[in-house]
Amino acid sequence: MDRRKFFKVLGVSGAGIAAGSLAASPLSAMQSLAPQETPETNINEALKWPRTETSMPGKFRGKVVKVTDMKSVDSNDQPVDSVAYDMVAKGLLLLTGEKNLNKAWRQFVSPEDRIGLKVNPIGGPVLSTSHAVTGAIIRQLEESGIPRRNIVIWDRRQEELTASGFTEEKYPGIRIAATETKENDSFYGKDGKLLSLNNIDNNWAYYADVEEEYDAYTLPYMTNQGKYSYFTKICTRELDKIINVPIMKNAGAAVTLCLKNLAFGSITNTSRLHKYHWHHTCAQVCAFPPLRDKVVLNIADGLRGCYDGGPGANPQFLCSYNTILVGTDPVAVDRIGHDIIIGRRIAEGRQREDSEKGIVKLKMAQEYGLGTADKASIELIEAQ
Amino acid sequence: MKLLALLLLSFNLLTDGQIPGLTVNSQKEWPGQSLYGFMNGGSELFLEYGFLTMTEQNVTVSDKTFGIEYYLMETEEAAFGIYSVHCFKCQRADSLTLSECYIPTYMQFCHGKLYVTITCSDRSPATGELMNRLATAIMNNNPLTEEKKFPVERPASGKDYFVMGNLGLSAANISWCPFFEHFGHYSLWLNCDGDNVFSGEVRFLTAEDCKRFCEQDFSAFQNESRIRVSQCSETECVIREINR
Repeated sequence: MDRRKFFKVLGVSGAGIAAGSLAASPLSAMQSLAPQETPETNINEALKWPRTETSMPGKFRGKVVKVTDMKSVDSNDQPVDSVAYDMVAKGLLLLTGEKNLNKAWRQFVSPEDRIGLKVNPIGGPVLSTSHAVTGAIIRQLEESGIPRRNIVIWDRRQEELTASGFTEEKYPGIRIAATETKENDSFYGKDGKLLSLNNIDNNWAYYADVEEEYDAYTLPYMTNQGKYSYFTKICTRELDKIINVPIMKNAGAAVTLCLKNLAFGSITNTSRLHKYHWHHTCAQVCAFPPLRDKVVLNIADGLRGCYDGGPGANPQFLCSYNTILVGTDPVAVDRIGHDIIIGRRIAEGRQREDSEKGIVKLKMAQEYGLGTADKASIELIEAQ
Repeated sequence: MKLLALLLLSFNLLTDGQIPGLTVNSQKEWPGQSLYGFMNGGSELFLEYGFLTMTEQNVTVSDKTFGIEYYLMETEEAAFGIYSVHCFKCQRADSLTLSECYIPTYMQFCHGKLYVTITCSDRSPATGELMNRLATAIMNNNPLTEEKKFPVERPASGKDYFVMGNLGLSAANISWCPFFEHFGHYSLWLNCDGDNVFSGEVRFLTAEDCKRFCEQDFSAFQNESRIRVSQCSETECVIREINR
């Protein structure tokens, strides 16, 4: 059947599609693979590790503070530093029940801790964790007695951190760390080996029985191929505490918030995990001790965000949520964030109704004891 | 071998002075899987459609800086498909070609096997006009031959979609995803009418898949009881929403 006939059959006005175009699409071009069975992983090994007092979901299981301020983004779509500062402060106070902001912060961190801010810079300057929120967190950490030298801003990819403005020039005295690094504009050292191999911890790996072979262009962005994804030394050795600062984005009918930011930002060899194993990876990687036991706080940055096209930054889908979500329970924060982002998708006509499939990773994470996915069990405190 | 194939499939990029005052500041190529290096998870959608290479350019014209991304897809349909699922709320559409969408700060279009985006942080109408000129220059640089003719014959932005798998379908019309959950090899033309009612034609790789698809109990899908499916050939069928 050609397209003219097809649209005539359908009663669609006009001959929209060029005749024979589908016939011209070689079947070999149908790249999509059939959905596969869930691959075997080493999640059970992770779950055997004894929990600690800082293990997820942390001090406030099932509690989320949502702070909204319509003045948090200016008329040029730029987050406003002073408003972001107040929103973070309000979130911390309401979460902890403290009246003193410094005391609120000190419930989670101490001056001896090496503290990592896990930002998300992959959407470039217009769709990354904002400098307004990042700067507010740093200022409040300093005000509560944390020395700048103990603060690290980190993610997987140095190039993306730099492109999004997370540089030592902008954040003097604070270390900017990445797993995939370059020297002299090369991913390879003088010994011919990938520099990123020095930044991964071979003692901590996520195994999943799925693999992809990478060409020479791609390997530097994956670090290794095969069935193992290694954790970055940044979270296994170089940090004591992690403050997770994702940005509110969709991924189809799901969201990329706390769990996704941590999981895909902390391990190598991720391409193989995106297509059929995304939900599992988001939940399972967070169940490994280097993340489970170190993430003490989540501050989801929704000043700006997107409701479609994520995780990339497609300008037609960018929006201002004017909101931050604060909680120690990453699953509960994600569950509240899910409703905000999917609600926007429905309002904008990108989706007709919510789907349980969007929260698969949250239900899995709840089963692993990482937090609360059941919305009825979440205590949501809203503030403006 | 792969590099040779890419060279044979190459296209023409903008060059210095191609329109008055144009300067190319930088350019970088992301072939094949390396798109993961550029956009990580978002690359899955492009790879599902059949992606060959992406070149990003940073250019300046009239003191304004633009980011241009050229995605070379395997087929014209794939280029249209990736365009179709990114097209939304165009302020101006289909004035230069049959599939182009402009909003302040952003223009996207497809042209043969190319899907192109142009971004500039400046929202002024003058910038929009410069984007038009850049887009026109890119199209003139890459004239379409008869064999590379465009897969649509009327303005299609926001009305017609082409998908080649479940990621594309979730972007074009997520409410149909449950129908295709257990199918991987298919391509689908979708039309959305003015009342946001979809109809489409799907082609499967095998007759078995097509038969299995048509024999599904569509009334069993939550909230989707008003679907009619009719098989047209061994591997093709038509899907219609009666209304919603």
